[in-house]
Amino acid sequence: MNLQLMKILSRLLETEAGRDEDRKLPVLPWVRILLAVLTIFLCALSRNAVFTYGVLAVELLHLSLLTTGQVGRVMKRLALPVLFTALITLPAVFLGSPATCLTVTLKVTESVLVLLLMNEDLSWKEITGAFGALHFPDLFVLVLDQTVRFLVLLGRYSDEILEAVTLRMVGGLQERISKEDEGRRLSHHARQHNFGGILGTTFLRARRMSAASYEAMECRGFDGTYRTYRKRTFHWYDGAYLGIGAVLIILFAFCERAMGK
Amino acid sequence: MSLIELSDVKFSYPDGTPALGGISVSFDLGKCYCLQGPNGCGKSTLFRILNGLSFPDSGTYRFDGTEITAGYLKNKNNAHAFHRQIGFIFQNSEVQLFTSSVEDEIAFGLYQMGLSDGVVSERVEKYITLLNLQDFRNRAPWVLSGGEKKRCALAAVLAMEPRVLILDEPIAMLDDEGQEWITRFLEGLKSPDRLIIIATHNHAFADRIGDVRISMTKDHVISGNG
Ligand SMILES: Nc1ncnc2c1ncn2[C@@H]1O[C@H](COP(=O)(O)OP(=O)(O)O)[C@@H](O)[C@H]1O
Ligand SMILES: [Mg+2]
Repeated sequence: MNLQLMKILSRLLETEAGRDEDRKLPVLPWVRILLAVLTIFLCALSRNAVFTYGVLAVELLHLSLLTTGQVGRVMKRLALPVLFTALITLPAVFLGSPATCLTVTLKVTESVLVLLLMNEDLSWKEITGAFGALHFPDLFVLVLDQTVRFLVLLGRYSDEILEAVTLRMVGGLQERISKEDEGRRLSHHARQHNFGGILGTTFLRARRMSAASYEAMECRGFDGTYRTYRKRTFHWYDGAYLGIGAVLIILFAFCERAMGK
Repeated sequence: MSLIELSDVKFSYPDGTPALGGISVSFDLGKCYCLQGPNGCGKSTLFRILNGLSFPDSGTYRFDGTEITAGYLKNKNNAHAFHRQIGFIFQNSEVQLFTSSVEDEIAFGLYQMGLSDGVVSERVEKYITLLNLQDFRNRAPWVLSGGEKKRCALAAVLAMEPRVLILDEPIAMLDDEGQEWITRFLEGLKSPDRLIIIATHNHAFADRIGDVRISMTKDHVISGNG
């Protein structure tokens, strides 16, 4: 169970390797994150359909600018949360307020879509880097970075060990054929035993790795400060992007006052 | 006086495993030393001591005339001054590369040295080009191949422009092409004001690159200079 989770996480974090650098929006990561958070926040607050549909329209527009592969990936990831929300809110339809079901599902769709669209553009390291740009303590960013790195590396290790164990169990297969009953019981026991072992080994490896990494940092003169290398500074299109945020707030205020309640 | 002088250094790990049994050796600027010996003879342990990661149980380690002890490196300024002079390439690059992009990896040590942003970006560019890392500059080091990881580690360490470069089995995990690339590169690094120390199993590699060969035995001692 834990192993499975680790694998999924490491896959998710490793997808960035195949990212297409050229197609990325040339906007600073922290600006994108700020706008995403703002959008989710306003969506949640909004009590009015015009605003919600407006946001959806913009998101769909953004989606249409992506490659087919990206759209497919976003849709696949979007499907589950949307279905889930729709199912949960379905009773509202029978309780006489079908609008609730629709609104909630729509809001969830939008929020998830914002995050997925952002994920298409930003890698996790740009996201952790954004915390640095927003003047979170550098050490906090370092810890985030390390956590991600460890999840990926440990996921990979446990994969390798799992493979090694599986290979060894195939060797046990022949034995099983000869001593059918006993063999089956044995291999079942061995498997349970091995999964415990894998977690243990992974843990030990994690400890050794973190100690070694710390030493590597020490060798390069680490004294508790950490700075990320940023060459991009604020550009006019970052301002323009922030402008979208401003428009969003104005639209929100307008909708709430003119048509809300 | 040699840049690095060890005299009768003994070391055992906390669990009692003996790793160095009285090592006396000196290393001079301008030469390339190859340290050879069977697995477990203590090469990596010796490198830990040279880098100030472990300290001798008995005997002394002098760097540029100063005895390096735990107490000496406690002082932040001393530690800074010491570490910026010695670059260490770990056997396993995976644990050595800890930031989230190749650029960050190179910049890390430079920021620790307190260099200005301008100098840092100049150096980052220089070493990215030197080690042919242009295509991976924004990648996380842990998605790179073995050879690329080695190059990234070399860039990160060399960018600090240390006088001493220590490499633990630099070509052990690489394919032929990677080995050839690293060998050529290291040959190019040799200079009168740099000291290079390499642990290796590979005799051909040692023959090609080493000016001085040092052999350690499985009893954790040096068996005579070549
Ligand atoms: N962290 C450790 N704890 C205990 N013993 C260790 C540790 N690291 C290495 N050793 C032991 O110290 C001896 C020297 O190891 P090492 O310096 O890694 O040799 P080499 O690099 O020449 O292969 C070996 O017997 C090894 O098992
Ligand atoms: Mg070793």
